[in-house]
Amino acid sequence: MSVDYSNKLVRNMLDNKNNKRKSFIIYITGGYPDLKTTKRIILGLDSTRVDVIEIGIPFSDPIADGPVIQEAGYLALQKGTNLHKILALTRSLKGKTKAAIVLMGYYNSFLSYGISKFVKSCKNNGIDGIIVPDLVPEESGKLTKSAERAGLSTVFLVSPNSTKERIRSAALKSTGFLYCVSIKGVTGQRKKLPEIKDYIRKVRSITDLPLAVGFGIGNNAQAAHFLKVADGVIIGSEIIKNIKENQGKANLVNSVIDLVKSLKKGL
Amino acid sequence: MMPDKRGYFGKYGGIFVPETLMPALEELKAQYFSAIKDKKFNNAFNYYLREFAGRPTELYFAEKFTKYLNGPKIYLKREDMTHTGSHKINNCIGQALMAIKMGKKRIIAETGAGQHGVATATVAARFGLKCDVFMGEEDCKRQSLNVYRMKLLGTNVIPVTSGTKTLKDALNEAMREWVASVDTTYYMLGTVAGPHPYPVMVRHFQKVIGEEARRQVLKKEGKLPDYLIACVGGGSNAIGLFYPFYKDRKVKMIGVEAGGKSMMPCMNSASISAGTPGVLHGSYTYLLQDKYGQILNTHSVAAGLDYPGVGPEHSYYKDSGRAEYKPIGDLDALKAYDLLSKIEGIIPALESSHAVAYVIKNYAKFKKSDLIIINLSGRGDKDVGRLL
Repeated sequence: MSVDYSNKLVRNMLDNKNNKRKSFIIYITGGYPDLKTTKRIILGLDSTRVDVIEIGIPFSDPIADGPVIQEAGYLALQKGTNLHKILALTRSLKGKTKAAIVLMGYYNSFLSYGISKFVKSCKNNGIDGIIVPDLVPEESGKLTKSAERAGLSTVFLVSPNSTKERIRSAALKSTGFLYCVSIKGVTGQRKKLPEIKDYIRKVRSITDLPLAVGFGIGNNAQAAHFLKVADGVIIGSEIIKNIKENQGKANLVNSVIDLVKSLKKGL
Repeated sequence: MMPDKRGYFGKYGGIFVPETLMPALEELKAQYFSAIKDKKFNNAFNYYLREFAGRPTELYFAEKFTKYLNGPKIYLKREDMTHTGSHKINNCIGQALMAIKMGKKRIIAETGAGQHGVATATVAARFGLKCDVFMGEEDCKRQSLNVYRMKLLGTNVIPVTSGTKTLKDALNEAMREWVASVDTTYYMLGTVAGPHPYPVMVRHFQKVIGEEARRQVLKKEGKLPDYLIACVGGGSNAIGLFYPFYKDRKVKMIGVEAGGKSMMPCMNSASISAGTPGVLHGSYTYLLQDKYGQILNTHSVAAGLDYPGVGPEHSYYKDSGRAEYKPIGDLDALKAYDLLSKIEGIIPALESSHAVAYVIKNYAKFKKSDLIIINLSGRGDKDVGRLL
C-alpha cells in the first residue's frame, strides 16, 4: 500500500525509524476498569511520549489473549463497554494526543458494527489504525479496501512460523508498521525470552515497514532484548496488571506513567 | 457440495484465526486432500471403522414407535451402537490417522457433553497418542461420568474456568493451547465447525452415516426416504447423514436445534433459528450474538448441543433452502427421551432426543406414507446420572 504521511500512525512510526528512535506501543483494554479511567490513562500515557496507544475492544471469546487481558476484557464487558462507547471516548480525545490511536479487536465486533460504517466512524472519531488479531490478509479484502480509501492504517500480524509468502501478503496490506508476534502463543508474560534475530531478519528481507514486536514483553530488560533487532515494542499485559493492582487508588494513572517510564528508560 | 478453495460454502466458512495457526491449517489442508486420495489411508480408515468402531450401524425400523405415532414410517440410524456410544468416534478415527500421517505425537480436543472427549481419549489410547482434553468446569460437573471415562483411558482432562465455563470456552482454550504448541500438536476438532479445512474434513469422516443409511434404506424399502431428521449443535451428525443425500432433491432434511427453555436470548442454543451470521472459532456462520457482536450465553438440557455457533455448511443449507432448521425445547426432548426408552427399548442421548421429539411433536404434519430416517446420534446412558 502507498505511504500516507498524513496518517499519524504512519508518521510517528516512520519518523522514529528514519531518526533511528525506537517506538513504544502501549496496549490497554478499553473500559477497564471503566471508560472514564481509560480516558485518564490514555492522556497519562500520551504524556510519557509513547508513540502509539492501542485500545483493545473487549470481546466475549478472545482466543489470541492470555489470562490477564482475558480478565480485563471480561470485566470491561460486565461494565457495559462496547465499540460505540469506545468510539465516543476517542472522539472526545480527537486532536488531543501526540500518540497515534489504534483500535485492536476481534473481527466479529467490527463485522457486527458493519465494516464500511466502522471505518467511517474510526475516521470521524480520531482513530489512526486498526489491528484485528483473528483476521488474516486473505480474509481482509473488505476492511483493507475501505480503510485505504479512508486513509486509515491497517496493521497485520506475522508470526515466527509465517512463511515468506505470508509475510509478504501481511506486509503488502499493512501500513504504519508490521506487528511481529514474538512467540507462538497468546498474549502475556513468559519466563523464557525467545531469540528473534533470524525471524526479524527474515521479515526485514521482505519489507521496509517499521517492525514492532509484541506478546510477552514485561520489563525494561526484555524490551531492550527485542529492540536490539526490532524498531518498536508493544506492551500490554504488564500494563493491565499494573492497572489491576492500582485499581480504585488515586495514583493509578501516575503508577501507569511510572511503569511506562521504567519500561522506556535508556531505550 | 464442495466448499471453494478458501473453504466457503456459499458465503459461509473461511478462515478467521490468528496468523500463527495459518501454517498449520495450510499443512492440514494439503495433508487432508492428499490423504483422501490415498488408498492406504482410506483402507486404514475403513478398517478401524469396521473393526474398532463396529460399523456399519443398523438402520433399524422402529416398529413400535411407528405404531404408537400412527403416522409416518420411522427408521433409526443407530449411531448409538458404535464403540463409545456416539457418532463422534467416526471423526476421531479419521483425525487420529491424520495426526499419525502428519507425525504429531500429541492431540488436543475440546468437549461439551464429553462424547467427543471420550471418543478422542479412546483413539488416543488405541493409537498411542498423548492426549489433553479441554472441558468447561460447568460441563465437568454435569458430565462427571465422562470425565472419569476419559481419565481411565489415560487422557488428561483440563477443566476450563474462563468465560461461561462451557463448550465455547473449552474451544477457546483448546485454540489458545494449539497456537502455543502448533509444531507438535494435532488439534482434533469435534464438529463440522472451525476454520477450513475442518468443516469439510469432519464431514468427510462423518459421511459414512449417510452413505450407509442410503444403501440400507434402498435395500429395505426400495426407495429413498422422504425426510432425514437429525439434531444440530455444531452439526456433525446431521451433516454426516445429510450430505450423501444432498443431490437427492426430493429428500427433505430437517436439522433440529436446541430450543432450550425458550427462544429468548441466552435461553437456547438454536444458532440458526435464533441467530445471525458472524465470525466465531474460525468461520463465518450463524451465531447467537448480541447487537455488539458479543457471543451470547447459551442453554440446552443437552450439553452436546449447548454451543452458540453451527457448522458453516448448515448456514449454507439454511439460506439455500436445502435443509430446514427447527428448534425443540428441553421439555419436549426429555419427553422423547422417556418415550423412546419405554416404547422402543432404546435410550437415546438427550441430543438425539431432540430429533426424536421433532417427529413426535409434528407427527400429524407428516403423511402416513412418509418414510423418515432419524439419526440416533448417540446413546443416553451418559445422561442417566444427571436425570436421576
